[in-house]
Amino acid sequence: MKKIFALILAAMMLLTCVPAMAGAGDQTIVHADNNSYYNNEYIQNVVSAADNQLYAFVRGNNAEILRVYSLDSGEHTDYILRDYNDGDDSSLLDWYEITDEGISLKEDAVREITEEERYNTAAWFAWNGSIYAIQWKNEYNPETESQSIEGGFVKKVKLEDGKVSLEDTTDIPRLDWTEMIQEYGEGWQDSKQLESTTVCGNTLIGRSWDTNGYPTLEVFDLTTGFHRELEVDENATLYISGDSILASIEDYEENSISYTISQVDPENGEQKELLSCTIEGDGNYMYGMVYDAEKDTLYYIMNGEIWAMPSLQPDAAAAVCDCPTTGNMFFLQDGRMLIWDSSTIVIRNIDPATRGTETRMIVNAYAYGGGLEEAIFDFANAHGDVTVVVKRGGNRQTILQDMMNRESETDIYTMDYDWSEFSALLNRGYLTDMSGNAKIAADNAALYPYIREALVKDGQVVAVPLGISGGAISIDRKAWKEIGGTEEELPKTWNQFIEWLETLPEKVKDQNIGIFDSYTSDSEFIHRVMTQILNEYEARLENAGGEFSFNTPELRELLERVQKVDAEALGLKAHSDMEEGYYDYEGEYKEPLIQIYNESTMQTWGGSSYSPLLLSFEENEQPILPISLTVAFINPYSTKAELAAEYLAIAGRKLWQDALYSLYSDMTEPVISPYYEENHERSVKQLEDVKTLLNAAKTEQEIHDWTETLKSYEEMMENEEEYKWIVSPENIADYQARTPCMRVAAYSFVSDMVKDEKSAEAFWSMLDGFSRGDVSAAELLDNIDSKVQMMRLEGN
Amino acid sequence: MYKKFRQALPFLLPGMAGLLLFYGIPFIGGIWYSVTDGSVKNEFVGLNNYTSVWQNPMFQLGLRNALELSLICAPLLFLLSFLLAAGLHRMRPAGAFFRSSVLMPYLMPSSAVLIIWLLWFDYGGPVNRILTALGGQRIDWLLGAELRIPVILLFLWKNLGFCVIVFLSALQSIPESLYEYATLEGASFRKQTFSITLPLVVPSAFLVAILSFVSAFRIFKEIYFIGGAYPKDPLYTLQNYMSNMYNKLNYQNVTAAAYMFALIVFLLFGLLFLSQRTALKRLNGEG
Repeated sequence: MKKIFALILAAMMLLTCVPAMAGAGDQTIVHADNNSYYNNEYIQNVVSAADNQLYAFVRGNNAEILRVYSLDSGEHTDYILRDYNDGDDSSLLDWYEITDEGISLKEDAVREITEEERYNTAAWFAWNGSIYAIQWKNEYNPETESQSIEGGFVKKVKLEDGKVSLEDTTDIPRLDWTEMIQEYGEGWQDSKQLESTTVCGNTLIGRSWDTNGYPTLEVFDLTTGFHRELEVDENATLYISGDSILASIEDYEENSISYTISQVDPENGEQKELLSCTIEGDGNYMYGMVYDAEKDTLYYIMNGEIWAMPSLQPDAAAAVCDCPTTGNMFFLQDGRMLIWDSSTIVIRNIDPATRGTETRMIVNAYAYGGGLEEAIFDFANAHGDVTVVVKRGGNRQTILQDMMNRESETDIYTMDYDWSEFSALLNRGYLTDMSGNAKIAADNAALYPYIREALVKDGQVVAVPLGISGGAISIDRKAWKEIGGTEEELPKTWNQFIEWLETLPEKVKDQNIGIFDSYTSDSEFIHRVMTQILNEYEARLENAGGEFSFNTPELRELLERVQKVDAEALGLKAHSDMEEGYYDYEGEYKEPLIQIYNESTMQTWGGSSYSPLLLSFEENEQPILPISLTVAFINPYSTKAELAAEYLAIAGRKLWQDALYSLYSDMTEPVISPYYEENHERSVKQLEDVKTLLNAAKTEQEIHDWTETLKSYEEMMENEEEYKWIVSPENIADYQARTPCMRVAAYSFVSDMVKDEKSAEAFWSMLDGFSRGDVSAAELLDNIDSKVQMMRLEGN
Repeated sequence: MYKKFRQALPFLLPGMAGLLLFYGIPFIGGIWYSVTDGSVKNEFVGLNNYTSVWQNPMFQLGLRNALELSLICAPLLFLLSFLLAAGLHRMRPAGAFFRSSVLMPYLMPSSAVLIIWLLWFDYGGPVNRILTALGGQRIDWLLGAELRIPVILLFLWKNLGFCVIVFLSALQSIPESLYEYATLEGASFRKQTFSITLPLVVPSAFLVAILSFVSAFRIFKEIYFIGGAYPKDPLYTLQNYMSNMYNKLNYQNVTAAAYMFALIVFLLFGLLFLSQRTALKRLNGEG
């Protein structure tokens, strides 16, 4: 029957040309891309009733919405569940009365909370073709100053005139909510929420957590209201979907995960082990498990695909279709699988027999790069017959063997630019030319020059950037000015930096600012500064050409000075005072002037008031800030190079905003927070009201109180101005000013020294020894240099 | 003989097939890697890879160290194993415990043995304590060129047993009656040694020599375990070079280095084979 449904649906989908369909029966209901996250709308729950519709409960910034999607057309209708802005148009002047005697609070100023507002929803579920909400009520007793909860009220959802109303119903009795109420301190209660609710017959099952944070299974009888709380293993992850209630215990090893998956009987909580298996490989996590008892098959999401394990035999497991998201899964009435998370709802036909032929494009994402999953949706709109599978993790060292074997299964790889494997591929011409794709060529031209030149080889565009990051020692320039510092006083070289540090204790004395973060230890400071110096020195050596040596008098002297810094005077904690890795924090917290590690690329959301100190090794020399880049490139043996290029052209611009602004010089438009206008308008109005009230104040006390209120409102508005930007003009200008100093970090000898476990252990041990003063700068550099020289002499 | 060979063929074929499949074909197939440039076009470059590897200072260092270590370890192993075997042979029938236990180090996993060695040669370990007790200075055995000594000692300790067993079985296979006859005929110990013992032991000695050199050439994991991919210069062997080239995905250099080293080893073994034949001829009074 399910197959017939699937076939009919597949035919309907084909006819109605529902967007974003790859295999027959696949559908994308909704997907909000990375940057729409800023609109702060996310899906809390998805419920399917037997009416070919999906009910998605969405929380937005201004309202809670019930969004009803039609499975036939993909269109949706919104119904307001709760509008947060109701009543927010009130003015302060509505609360206060101005008379000749002064200002007084109106008797009816404090609005009574309505009965409806006392109710909160713990869960939604579908039963017998209707949608229901389980609610709990919050009661506050002002006389006893205590609060109590009553819960288990089941309301029926009615959709009318664009609104959701919750009506009392006799369909389901009130549920026993006693065990769902948690006590917090004296006279305070809270209600547990119910997640992943599912209905099996007349039993409602959901997942919750106890006060220790351990998972519990909550079972309600919808005919009697009886409730049972079932305990499961505290380490178990619960997957609840239809009649599939699974508890999975995962044991993580270095390159594998062992799973023990049991089915939980909601009647008595008994767990019956279904299977134990070990999944090899980095990045191969099993998400969203659903067990189909009828077919005796376990379905789960792994590495960009939905897998089926028939007869619970791990060896028989096979991927059935792509899956562009990880999240909750459940079967629809027609046998298809619905997968949803906070921004996405997709449906997949998991029956390989009815999926039809499709072209698969495989992305082996060895390095984490953004945009890959995001691009799937737009790409699928243009190529409905192509599915894209993004596999994360894996062993990157096999890549050159794959190249030499002319392996064509993978179409796209992602790697970090400074990996030796990428360097080998780049030097040997294994990266496919993408200049023929107009969008990639145009985007490449729009990159900042220091990035563009890294991705072009012999005039060909060979890679697309998907991620960027960099670290630097940074200073809060605003705070520096506040304590009387000038831009000219800031150091320009590393040696000047050490000298400048010595002046800081006096500078910050009696100021409400510290030099470093209160938790920074002396060894952390030395370790971080030394690492930054080594990275920049290596970049400098690469850039300058000539003799490549770390063991130079210049660098030795500099590191010795770093080691001799007066840590106590700078407020750094002695590493010997750490107990079990923590310090006991005492005293008043002060914002630090210096961050020993801060992002040197573009930061968004007001990001940080810290900006990098650009330090060179000699005066009048341009500083160099090494930047890490994650890139994607096409397998030269791929049979779908053009499609792959199209896909990457989309992915390259589907990144988070901080990455986009850091990579592309054409991203110059500042971005204001979507909340700013509305909040600002409200704040301006409230400020005016406060000024009116201040002017009307008669007594000294009133004048004082309203003056304080005015100050706090003005501070609030200053904060609003400071944080109004997602991407501010100052951040853009600041970043653009330092891009000439930036260089994409290519193959790093120092990084390659930590490739094997033994060398890494010895290297970090030596760095730690240097940080603690046990190893001298000469020993450290001699050790590094001897290895680096050997690596260079070996060649590549 | 032809008939015997045909009869033996079915028994030989599986082993030969395995040898061909897992050694022969890869050996020949690897030659292709060594004469191409490893780029996407994989162009033929003739002997360029061999030339560049031969001229590479790290290859030269690794080869020199590999030969030095083998020229120290192999003769030492040979001599010590022969002396120990001779001693155990004299202790018969007593000494069964020693004959059994001499093989124990060979059977122990290398990583377990290494851990014990690391404890022994640690800066505060028993070896340094003995040294200081004898009036000497402590030595940082595990850092620096001094690591050679623990590596050599470890090599000897681990491989001694197997070579002793080979020599011992050779010595034990010499019929006692030969010595009795020789004694009766008035032959001295020296005469017996050169006329009976050595001629009959030479084939086994040749085997032990081969095994010693092969084992010595394979010294790597101990150095890698302690010193990592880039140990101090005196410990950097050819295996380090090839391992690092492999990790850099430079299969061309790995194969070129491997074939050149194979050639050197073949030459060495050829030399040993000739020495064996000459020694046998002389001992048997021929030519």
